[in-house]
Amino acid sequence: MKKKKQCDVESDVSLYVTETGGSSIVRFKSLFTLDSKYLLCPCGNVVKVYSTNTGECCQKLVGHTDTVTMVAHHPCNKLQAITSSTDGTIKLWDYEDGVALSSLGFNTPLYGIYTLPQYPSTAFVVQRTDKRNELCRFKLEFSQPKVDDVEVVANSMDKLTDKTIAFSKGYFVVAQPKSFLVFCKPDKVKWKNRVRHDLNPKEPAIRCIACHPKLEQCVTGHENGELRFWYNLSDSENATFNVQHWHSLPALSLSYTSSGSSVISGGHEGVMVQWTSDGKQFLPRLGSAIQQLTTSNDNQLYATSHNDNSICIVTSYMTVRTTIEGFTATGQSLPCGLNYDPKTQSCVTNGKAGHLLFYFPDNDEQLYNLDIVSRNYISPVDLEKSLPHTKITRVGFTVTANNEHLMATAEYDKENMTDQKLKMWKFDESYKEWCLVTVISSPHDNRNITSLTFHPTNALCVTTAEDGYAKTWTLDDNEDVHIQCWGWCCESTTSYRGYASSDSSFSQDGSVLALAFGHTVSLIDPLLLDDLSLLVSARTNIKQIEFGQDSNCHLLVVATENSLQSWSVITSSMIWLIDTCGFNFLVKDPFSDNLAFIDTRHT
Amino acid sequence: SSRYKSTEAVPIATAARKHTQDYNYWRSLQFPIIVKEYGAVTNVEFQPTEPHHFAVTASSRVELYSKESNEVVKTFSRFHNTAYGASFRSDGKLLVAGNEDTQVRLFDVQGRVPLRIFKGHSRPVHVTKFCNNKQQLFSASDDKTVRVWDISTEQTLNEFCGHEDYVRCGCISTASENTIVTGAYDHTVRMFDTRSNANTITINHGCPVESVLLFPSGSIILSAGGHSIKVWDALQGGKLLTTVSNHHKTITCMTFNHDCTRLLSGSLDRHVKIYDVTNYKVVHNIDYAGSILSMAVSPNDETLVVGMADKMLSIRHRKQCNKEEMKEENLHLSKRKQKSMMRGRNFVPNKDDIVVQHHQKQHLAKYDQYFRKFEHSKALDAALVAHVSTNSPEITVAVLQELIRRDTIRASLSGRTGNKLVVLLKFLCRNISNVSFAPTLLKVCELLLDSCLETIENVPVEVSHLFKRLQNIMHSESLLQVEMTKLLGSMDLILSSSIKN
Repeated sequence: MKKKKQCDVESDVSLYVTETGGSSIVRFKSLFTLDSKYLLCPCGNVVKVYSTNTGECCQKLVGHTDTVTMVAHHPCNKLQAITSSTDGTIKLWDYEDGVALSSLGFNTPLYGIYTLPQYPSTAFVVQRTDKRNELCRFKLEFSQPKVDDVEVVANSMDKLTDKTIAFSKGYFVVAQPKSFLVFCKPDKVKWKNRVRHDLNPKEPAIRCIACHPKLEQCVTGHENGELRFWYNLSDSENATFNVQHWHSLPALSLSYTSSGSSVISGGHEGVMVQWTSDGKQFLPRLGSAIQQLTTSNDNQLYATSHNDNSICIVTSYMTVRTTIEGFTATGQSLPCGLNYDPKTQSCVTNGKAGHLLFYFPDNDEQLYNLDIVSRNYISPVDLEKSLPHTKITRVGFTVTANNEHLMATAEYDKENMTDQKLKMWKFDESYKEWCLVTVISSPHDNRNITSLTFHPTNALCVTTAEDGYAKTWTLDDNEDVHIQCWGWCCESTTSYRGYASSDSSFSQDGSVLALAFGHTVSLIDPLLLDDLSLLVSARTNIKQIEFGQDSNCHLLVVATENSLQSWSVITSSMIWLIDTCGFNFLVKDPFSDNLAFIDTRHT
Repeated sequence: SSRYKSTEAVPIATAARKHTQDYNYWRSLQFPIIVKEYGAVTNVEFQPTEPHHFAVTASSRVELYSKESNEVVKTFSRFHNTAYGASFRSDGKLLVAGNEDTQVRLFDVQGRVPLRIFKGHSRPVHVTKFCNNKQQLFSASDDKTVRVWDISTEQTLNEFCGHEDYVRCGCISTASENTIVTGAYDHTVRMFDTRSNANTITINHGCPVESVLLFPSGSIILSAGGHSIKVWDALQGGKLLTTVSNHHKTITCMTFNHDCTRLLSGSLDRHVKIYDVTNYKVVHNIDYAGSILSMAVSPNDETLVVGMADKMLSIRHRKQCNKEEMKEENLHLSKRKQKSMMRGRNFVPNKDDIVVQHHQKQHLAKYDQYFRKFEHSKALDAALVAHVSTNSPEITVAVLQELIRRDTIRASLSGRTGNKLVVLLKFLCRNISNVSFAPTLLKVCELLLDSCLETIENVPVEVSHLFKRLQNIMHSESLLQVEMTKLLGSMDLILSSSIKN
């Protein structure tokens, strides 16, 4: 085994990041194209063009050097889109071909771009100066590389985001927590004519705003979940509103449909509500909180962007047509780590709550989210205290000798100390999906499972846990002549002096199973369940153990809090020892004989 | 994906019997018909030809029972003393039986008077069987000899004197005309050849042999005696193939099923065990009320007849084919219902038709319907309805768990008065000692006591009784746990000391 000290790595091989994928597709508002065929989503430095029929990513608009913040239609050309970015430019794109046509430079990061079909030469940007956002008007001309005359329309506003600015025919509104401004255009020169509507300080603050596409009406979403429909906007004295209340948590997003006949709203409940003059319609259980809502120009489609980085394309009949999923695992801890699935050759990790995510890192593409826990998403009653979800803590894969693909998952609800389950899955070749074979409830007496390892060739699985037991699970070879029930059962339990068992590892050929108990490693024969030998290895507890591959398959690497050791299982002797500073984890490359060790110095 | 996922209950793990094919096959034997005989039923045998009557040897008579009516159709009572081992010829026309008075009698199945009486044995004859050629029969006697008789002349053709004790069982090889296998109380099984008049193979079983069987191929011998059945290969000179020991008292009889794929053994321990002959593993077990002495299976396994030492004869018939019952059940459905059920089932769309799938409405249990509407207290009520909470307490526990997960358990437990509280407390009393429910139910108990704390002094008498009962249950449970821990400790002590030794 190649001994790779940290210093070696620094001097010989320089590791560098080749690509960063998995950006959020829901952070900024997406946009339907005018023919409703595509959905343009800002995603990191690129804009992804998704088909609204299939949810497939058709095109990537690459060119910006920093985060793309907004997409807008070109006021004249249907097939072009304009994007704003924090790199200080706006770019004009042909989204079907994926070509950047031209670029306009600003001096400041841009957080939004708005165009109006009625005034093709005028556009608005949100630019950031001195930690404040300003809404500015400028002349939309791509003939020059720079924009010179920028007219600030609204400044010194806090929280000027795409949710608090709404444009309509001939006017626009900008919302503040306790007031909102209506900008009208009386003479054709300046947008300075504004009407201010103030809320009573005791009234709930405004979170989002949307305005009617044709009439002078707007709707505001408030932090207590109520919606206010405002009429008579241009009159500061006589503006009236009526209140509708369904959301129990703050309304996060609002949108009028393009005809203006109804309003859709979404919030933390994960329910899309459509408000019409007759009443309201619901589309429940969309998965998680709705961050953004977009409506298409032909009144047929809605897009709901969710916290779990997915976008649902909803038809006007309130049915989900397709789901676009970005890399789900953004911004959450990954208790089951990164795993390699030999079936799809994808990377597997925690996805949505209670789901496993299958992801291709090479092309930043998500295969699917597999529901493991099978529980409904329940929005929390109180946003401060989120509901504990049963988390998938461990996952393991194997391919057996007769080419069956098996998966094991361990799930656990840490908060309630319940719901520990070990689930065994098998890939059904005829249905092309994972099907559940066995559910084992409370396999380790509701103590944390520390590792889950499959035998390299046999249908044999080992779990170790903090309760001090290592259990081997096998597919039941029924004693009876007629095998009718077919499932996994516990074959053996091993413990050593009650020490917590921290890790397990199979040798490459599967003939030796190493189990770490406290500061010792026990080697057993996994098929005959005989004790082979005991390596007493460290003064401190073992964190992780890993067998070598190929020419080093007789070596066992043992990681403790402050050292890395290599033991030969043939002679039961230590080969080498390196002192390390802190332990994070140890990873084996399945295709070479290298191991990676990550310490806590830089993380 | 916006489908509601229903609440999942963890089924209670039970050591349920696995419903194998064998289990279903032998379970389809109906409740036994019991007939009282005059004495211990020492032998039962089926007529190999139609109408498949069976001969029951008990006391001083041989009775012929009809399989259909379970009644005696004929009695052979011309025995001076206890009769033994009545056996049919392969054409089903003749019957032979031994006797305590040393004579062997041959009957026509139609007649009543013995056609032939074979005299020559000096002690009671327990085994009589026809040979394959239909012209001869053999008998084995307590005088340690085995004789082969010519039917037409009543003459002894062979006399084998190898055994050193009572010969109590024997059989004929169907593969070869000249081979007789007998087992005796001298622990040996002997194979005799009528041509050479010689004892070709001697096998030591190790216990008095009560029953021997030969496979139709004639190469494998099964011997039963003591608690074990032993399997021997005759072609390898009587090499022991395997030993099966599943009874805890003497095995008295063995028989094959109709196609010799299963072996049945009866024992004094009142069990009939059924083995797969490919690996001699028990596939099924049938219990009886008395010690079993004899057993027979009809052709096609339609009927299993077992004779017992306490003069009882048990007859079990296989249930008739289920298809007819199904048909009858279908008839019960009214025609209108059938029509509505079948409507459109066999409709084939045309090539150009656009098929619109019918939207199947998701069926949800009552508590799930309430959960879907976030009516948590009502969901708990629905899960505490008598038929749910008594028949499937795991569902109620799953609902409680879901309430804990949703963090609404406190709200749904509080404000319970009267009957609602009584139902909940009764459920807790019933199930709190169940190991798999205990973690959830203990939590629920805690929360319930918290919410009832203020009003606990002025609750109705019934409720306070239930609280007391719950307290008693908890108390006895904790005592039990202490006892169990003690037991575990002492067991560990024994186990660890035994490992060291």
